[in-house]
Amino acid sequence: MFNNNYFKVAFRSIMKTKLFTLLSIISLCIGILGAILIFLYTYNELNYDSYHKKSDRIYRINSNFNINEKEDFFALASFPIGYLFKRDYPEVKEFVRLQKMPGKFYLAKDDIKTFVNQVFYADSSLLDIFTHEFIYGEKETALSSFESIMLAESVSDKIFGDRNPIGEIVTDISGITYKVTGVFKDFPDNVHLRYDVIMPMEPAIQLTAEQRGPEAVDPNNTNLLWQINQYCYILLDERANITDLNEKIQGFYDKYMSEIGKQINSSFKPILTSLKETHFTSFQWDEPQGKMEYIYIFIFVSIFLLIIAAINYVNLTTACSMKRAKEVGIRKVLGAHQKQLIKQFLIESIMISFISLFFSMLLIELILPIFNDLTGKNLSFGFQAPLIIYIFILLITISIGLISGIYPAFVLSSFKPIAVLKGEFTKSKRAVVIRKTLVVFQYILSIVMITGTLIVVKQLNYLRNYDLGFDKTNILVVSAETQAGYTQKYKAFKNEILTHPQIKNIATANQVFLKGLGKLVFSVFDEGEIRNLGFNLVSVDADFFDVMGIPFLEGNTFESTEGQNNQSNFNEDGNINKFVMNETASKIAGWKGTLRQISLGDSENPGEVIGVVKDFHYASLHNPIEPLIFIPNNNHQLQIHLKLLDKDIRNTLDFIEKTWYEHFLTTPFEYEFMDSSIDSMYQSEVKLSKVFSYFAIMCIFISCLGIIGLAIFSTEQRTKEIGIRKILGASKYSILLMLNAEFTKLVFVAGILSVPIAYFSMNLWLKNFTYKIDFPFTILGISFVIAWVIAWLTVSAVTYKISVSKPVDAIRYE
Amino acid sequence: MIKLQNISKVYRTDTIETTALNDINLEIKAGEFVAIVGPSGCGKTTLLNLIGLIDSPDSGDLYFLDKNVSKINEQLKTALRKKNIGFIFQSFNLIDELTVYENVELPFFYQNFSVKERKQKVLELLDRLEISHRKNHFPQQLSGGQQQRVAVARAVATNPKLILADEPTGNLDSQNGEEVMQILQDLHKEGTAIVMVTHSPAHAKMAEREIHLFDGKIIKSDLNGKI
Repeated sequence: MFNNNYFKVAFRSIMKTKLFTLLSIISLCIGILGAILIFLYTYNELNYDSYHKKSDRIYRINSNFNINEKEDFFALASFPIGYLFKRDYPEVKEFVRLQKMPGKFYLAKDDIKTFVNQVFYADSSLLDIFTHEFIYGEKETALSSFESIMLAESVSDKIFGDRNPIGEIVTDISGITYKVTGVFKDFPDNVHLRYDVIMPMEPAIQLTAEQRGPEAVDPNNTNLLWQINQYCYILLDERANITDLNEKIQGFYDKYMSEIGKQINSSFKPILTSLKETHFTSFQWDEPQGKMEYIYIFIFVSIFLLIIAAINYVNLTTACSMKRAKEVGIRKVLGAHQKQLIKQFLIESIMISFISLFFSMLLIELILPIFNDLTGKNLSFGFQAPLIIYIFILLITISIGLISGIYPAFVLSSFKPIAVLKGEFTKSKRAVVIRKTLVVFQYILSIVMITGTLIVVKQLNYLRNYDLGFDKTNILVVSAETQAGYTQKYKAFKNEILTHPQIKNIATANQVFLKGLGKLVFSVFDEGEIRNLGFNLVSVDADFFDVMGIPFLEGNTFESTEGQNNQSNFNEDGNINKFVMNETASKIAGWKGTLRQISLGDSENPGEVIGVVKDFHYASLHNPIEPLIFIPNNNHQLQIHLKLLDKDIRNTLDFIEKTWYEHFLTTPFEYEFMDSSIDSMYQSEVKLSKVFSYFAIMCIFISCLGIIGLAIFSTEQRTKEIGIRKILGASKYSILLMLNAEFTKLVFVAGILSVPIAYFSMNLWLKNFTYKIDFPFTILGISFVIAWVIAWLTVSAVTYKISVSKPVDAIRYE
Repeated sequence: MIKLQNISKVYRTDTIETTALNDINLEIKAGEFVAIVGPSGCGKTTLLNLIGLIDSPDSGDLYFLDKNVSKINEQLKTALRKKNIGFIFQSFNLIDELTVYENVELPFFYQNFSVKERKQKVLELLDRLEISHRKNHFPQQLSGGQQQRVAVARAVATNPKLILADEPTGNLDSQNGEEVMQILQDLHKEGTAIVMVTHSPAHAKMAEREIHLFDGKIIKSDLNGKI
């Protein structure tokens, strides 16, 4: 189809305009590189959980509760629901319940001790539903006995090295023994439900039955449907239709739950999410998820980059067209059709595109680790990459070659041979206008990218510095573990800790605020009326408010449990009779009378609200403040909060660590400062700001290459004029100003046009936040100045040389 | 007014070294009309460029208004040039993107005349050179003769003491050529010194003095019997 000649000529003309070709290739190389990176990222995100072979048939049951007109979505489900689904709906072939073990799990084998983060109890059906690649052991026996324990490869490696550990005994912190029955390959990074250790659910169920009676684990006990505490996944039959099933489960609430629901003014809806969707849904208590909007943003950004790169090719090629005009003229005189010429120029652009691809492929190995670091991914690229990635790369390269080549091809091939050969050919006004328009477009995108980056950073700083309503500085959180005699150990630890002058106070809670709290239904007693309302709940001791610096609006904290009457917060039945709540909770409870009483669940023995604290942010600022109730704990809880004073923190930490090991020898001293935990809630924004800033730099860089090319071209064109002006007395500054003014105008127009785009797009993003900055117009101004200064410096690098040249050089150029 | 002492100028490319001017000694007095003649490539334009301070010699001393200017920087040269020297080229060297009016306005612009003064002076000049009716045209829309008139108008705009003309009639037909020569002679009569490079013996004869260049050297200087 193609004559060999086409390639030869393409190659020669590429070599002839070396500088401009180089600029085009660098631009396209960066553009293609960006596109490949974003494609790898998107492919990885959109194929979440495809590791599981049955992923298209696996669904998670999520819970949608409506308690007193307040809707909540949870990733968790109740104990019986999987069982009932399987029993009632033939589409459901299997179900698995997974319960996460809170905190860290301690595992020991002889002298080797290790801590594991992600530990789940699961039904043995887990292995039928999700894919596990067994290295040792078998699916059939891995979770079959009470003492079974299944380890991820990395955990097994830590304890046993490359030994086969099947049948080996390991112990936990309380000395309970487990027998290793399976070792499975670690999951790839794009699996949303991750675990290092799996233990069978059965012993946990049996323990609950022993402690709370058989009805607590009876799957037919519909009361349990109101308590959600585990993940539940179902496997659908191969022929099942999800639409049908979704319709059927609408009747679930009426059949099992409406009776109680009416009493407590609440309702429930099960929601099924496919494994693929699950990664992008953000329900409460979910495992860390992805954000679809970020994928959209990244795709947009990479398209920006490609467009800017393609524009460079268009501009540089049409700018050089004068140099090609003669060739076109002669070819036409010799009988070339426009079609043949278009083909010629398109081959050239596609060739350049492939050369650029070649360099991006070389660069990708270098860039990928940086990109992985930015995005927190573990992407790889190589021969093992899926075929679709190669097809994408091929398509993007050919299409970018075609897109960037088509306009120059038409422009170049449409030159009139007579005009060209007679020397009457003058530069086309239209082409100049198009070039300028494209440069304006490049700068609009660049300015929008800079603005975006700065706004993300500004919002991030705003969130980090927002007054949360409590004093987040110097609060140290250390997690203890359930163990025999904990309360006594804690008391001793506390007494010793408080002897240190740099430790202000210490308190415990059952949860760390920022990691999510439990939500429960309370009964609000008001002038003989009882209302059921859902409140977040945290169990704390008396000193907690002091440690956290949470101010009281009314009343006071609980009575200290350290004293003689340490049961004073509870009545004789062991029910709580003292509560503290936040402002929002107090408003929602809406007492009309002066006596403010509530009880946990449907208990008929209410306690009294003894204090109301000022509202403070105990979750990320993406969300508004929710109602919160504090209940006292009679035994100390596991999350230990310490308030340190400013001085000498390093030594104080050493002291705490030393004291810690004196009292809790087997628990690792792992601490987190409250303010850094708060920062970590905005990880996805940090990630976004980083990716944004890198891409903004690339956009600006490519745009600069473009205007370097255009500046070289336009100074070349204006050499004679510059010479004349210099002879007539123009100074170097006036020449510099004149040449730069052309580009300044373009950047200025881009600056104006970018206002609505940046305003609209960034406001859209800011809508994600309940607490957000007002749209900062100053930042738009700053972005414009940045873009302008960079453009000015870039152009000056080219124009300065000519502005200081001797006028005779310019004249002689003729 | 201008004095060249042992001036040499060599052009170098990667492989070739061309001596454009070789040990030139020459003096031009104020108000004098000098023609430089010689075959192509003998260094006429180079000599003119040196006198016009748009190029610098490799060796020797160049005095302009009794000041040694062979080593002064570009900025000072620009200042001297824009006050004292006007240029006329064979190819007119008008700026294509500017109108007749704007081309003539340029020297005033670079000498920081006010808008009002500029307007007045440009219109005067255009009148004097009989091209006012073309003031809003672009150079390409004019005939060669008209273009050269514009170039002359631009060259004399700031009343320079010296006009350098590089083959001013080279691209013109004989009638237009004569007209331009007439203008130059008029300027000379008004007291402006003129140094003109030309190939036309007839036009050279109109000068007071003819300097013959050959291979970068002055081989002859005729006084044309005028002084």
